[in-house]
Amino acid sequence: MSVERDRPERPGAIQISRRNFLKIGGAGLAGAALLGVAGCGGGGGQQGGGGGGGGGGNTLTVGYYEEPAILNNYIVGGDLAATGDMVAGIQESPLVILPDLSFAPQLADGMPKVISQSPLTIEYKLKKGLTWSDGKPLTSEDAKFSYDLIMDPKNTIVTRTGWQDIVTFETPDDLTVRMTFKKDKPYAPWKTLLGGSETQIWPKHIYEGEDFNKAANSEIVGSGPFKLQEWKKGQSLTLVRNENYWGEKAGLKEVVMRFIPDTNTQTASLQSAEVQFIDPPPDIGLLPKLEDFEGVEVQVKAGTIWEHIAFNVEAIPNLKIRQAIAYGINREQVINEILKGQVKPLESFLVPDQTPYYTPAWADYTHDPDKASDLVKQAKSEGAKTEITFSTTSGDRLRETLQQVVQQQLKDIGITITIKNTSADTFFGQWTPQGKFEMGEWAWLANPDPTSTTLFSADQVPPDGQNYYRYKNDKVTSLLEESDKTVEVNKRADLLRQAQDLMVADMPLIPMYQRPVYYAFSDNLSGPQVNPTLAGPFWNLGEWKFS
Amino acid sequence: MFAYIIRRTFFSVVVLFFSSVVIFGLVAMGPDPLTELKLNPRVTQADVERITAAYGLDQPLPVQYGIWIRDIVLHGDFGESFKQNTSVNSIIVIRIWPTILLMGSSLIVTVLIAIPFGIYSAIRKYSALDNAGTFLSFVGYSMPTFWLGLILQLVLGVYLTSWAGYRIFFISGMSSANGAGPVDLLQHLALPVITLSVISVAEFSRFQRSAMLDVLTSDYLRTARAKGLSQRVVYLKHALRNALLPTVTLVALSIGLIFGGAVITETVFAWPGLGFLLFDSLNKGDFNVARALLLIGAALVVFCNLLADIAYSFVDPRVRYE
Repeated sequence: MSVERDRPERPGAIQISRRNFLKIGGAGLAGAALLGVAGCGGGGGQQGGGGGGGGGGNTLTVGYYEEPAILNNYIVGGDLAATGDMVAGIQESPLVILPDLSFAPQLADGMPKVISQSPLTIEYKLKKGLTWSDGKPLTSEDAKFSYDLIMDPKNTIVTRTGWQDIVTFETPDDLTVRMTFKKDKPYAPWKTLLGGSETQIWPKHIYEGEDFNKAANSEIVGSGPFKLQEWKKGQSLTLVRNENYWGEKAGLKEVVMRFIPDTNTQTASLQSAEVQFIDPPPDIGLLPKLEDFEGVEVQVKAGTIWEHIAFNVEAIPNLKIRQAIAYGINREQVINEILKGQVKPLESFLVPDQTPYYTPAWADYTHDPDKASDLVKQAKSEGAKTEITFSTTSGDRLRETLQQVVQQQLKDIGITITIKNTSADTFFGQWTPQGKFEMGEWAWLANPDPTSTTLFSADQVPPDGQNYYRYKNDKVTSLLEESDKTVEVNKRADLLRQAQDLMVADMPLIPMYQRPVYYAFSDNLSGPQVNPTLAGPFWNLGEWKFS
Repeated sequence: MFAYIIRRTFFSVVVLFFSSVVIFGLVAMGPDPLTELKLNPRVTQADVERITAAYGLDQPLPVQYGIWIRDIVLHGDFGESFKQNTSVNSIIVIRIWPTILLMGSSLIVTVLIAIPFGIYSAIRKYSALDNAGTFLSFVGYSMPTFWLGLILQLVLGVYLTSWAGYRIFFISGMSSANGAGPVDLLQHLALPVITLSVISVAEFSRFQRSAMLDVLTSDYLRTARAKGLSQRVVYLKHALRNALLPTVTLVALSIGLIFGGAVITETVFAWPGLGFLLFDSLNKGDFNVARALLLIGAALVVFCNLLADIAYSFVDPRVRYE
């Protein structure tokens, strides 16, 4: 038995013996633990019922890699792919982009018509009987309202490009929408204002008078086959079937999007059937692993994100060096190292799906090390340097492997490559816009519309645009600008083909490959069809169902 | 004692003030919050300038700092998130409970396992169990969290489920699709807690072992044994009380670090905690979120330090504060 020592009295001293303190402390900890357990019960038990993780009944659980910041695709912060993917089943646009990059009607009744070339005037009719998820009718009023939302200066809209060239937006009747562009600004990519990001139609009766910068951050109302039921931030977003849908009702009753940022966890979740659909980013060795899973179907398609090797034309001014590199790189070998033949080399800065604008302009530059070495010798005698830094974003295994293979290939033709990478933010925030690179590697996203002016036009060198290559060719510039104003498809294709052929001669870049898109899902789920565009994997979510 | 607390509190505030300046400045050197926006080919320079002004990012840094600290001190408002268009407070509040749940559970599990184990290891020094424990501790302490988490997911998540025929552990998230009861929560909590605990058990048990060893050689224990007290009473009633003191300090400091969450574990298990939020916001340049988390974390550490010192003075009467 221990004896408590007396403590001297001090004014204001709190008298607690050690034994008592430890008892109280212990009781406190135990109490806290009990509270914790009770809290578990309270916090965990929300609305009861419902199936567990597996495809219980008619619920699909998706493992998605990134949580959106907000649900409003129009305003800053909502221009991520994650936002578009979450609302693809909820909101609809006049047109939708199909997997082959063509446009098809969604809310529109048939394709829009060009009723006047100059000034450019586009007209489309909405389908009859369209309704919002609350049953109210969807009319051309809502289309005009959506246009007003974009043009309202109070709204922090991502971009008004194209929209600001519209001089009148008319709705002659409930189902007809007519847009007239400025006479000197015929916006050739007008289809991108009707299908794709920032094109969804908003319900006027719900959002009129609301602060658009906040109204659709965490909740959203649309006309699509699904409604938003709940968004548990940090965890999951739940869609539920829209029973008032104007078209054929969705095959699934409920879709739960679980946010799983780590790819390994995503694939493990699919393997253990905690989720039934994932669209993981491509990685070396991922595809064979997915194909090995039991009960899982895998789809692969060449995507719209295309990787390329870029030259800072001011840092490597000698054309022969750039051509030598183009002959010296064996693209098939690079692709086999990274993606084991899942994709083919890309032959232009447009992708084959962008017919009829695409032409395989770079096809002549096949692997020819002898020709390459020759060119290097010639260039050297003209004073060009043969030590070049090769930069890209760090932490990307595909890109780093590409660099190493290329480094090896170019060593064989007499060019010494030094690899120097940095974080994506520094690379795109500083190096590329400021020209702090010699040879770079990165990717662009191909749109259904082939406009490439901001990338290659002589007046689009940063800070004015994204011509990081510092490529200045007046003829190419005028061809590109002309094509942006040419509405007639064949004429436009001709201009763009000329531009591509001229650019090959200047070699500001070497297109490499289109990043493949993978979907992996339970084989009893039908409906998913790889859509590599911004329409995303859920572009046809209404047609999915379990068999 | 009271004067001591007042003095310490005052100095804590000063420390926090300096921390806030450092935090603000360091985070400002992070990635540009508008990077993704600038990558969008349809966004023009005018758009970028408009948005920069809207976020107040065109002001000089000291002005931005003044506005930030004034809002915190006067209104408890940590500002707006650049990425989520909503207040930082609302973003953080949702993630507090999952963080406390994860870190608190793993701290409790760690303490419950590590202390008895450390004590036993000290008493039976160099026995088979002690040696095994030492070996396991070094292995556990060296294990990368990321790897351990993935292995547990595979073995206890995927393989165990297919072998047993029904699901025992969930490998991602905090709850199943449609909200479920406490059992479901425990099934989701188990693997992340195991991942975190393995490493802290290794750390705490070594600490406890060496603290106990220190005490075991004391004279007063010899006296107690000489008086005829049983071994059990000697160890648990006399030795343990003194051996627990360093561990109490360690636990108190760990409570302060709970708020930091566990970035890697949360990412691997898709657990909606504050650790992942901090990492993500630093990556994306969401400055206000990152600053708020860092400042709150600093405040907690300072506060728990103070608490630990006060608790220490109660537990050990030889310690006096003037």
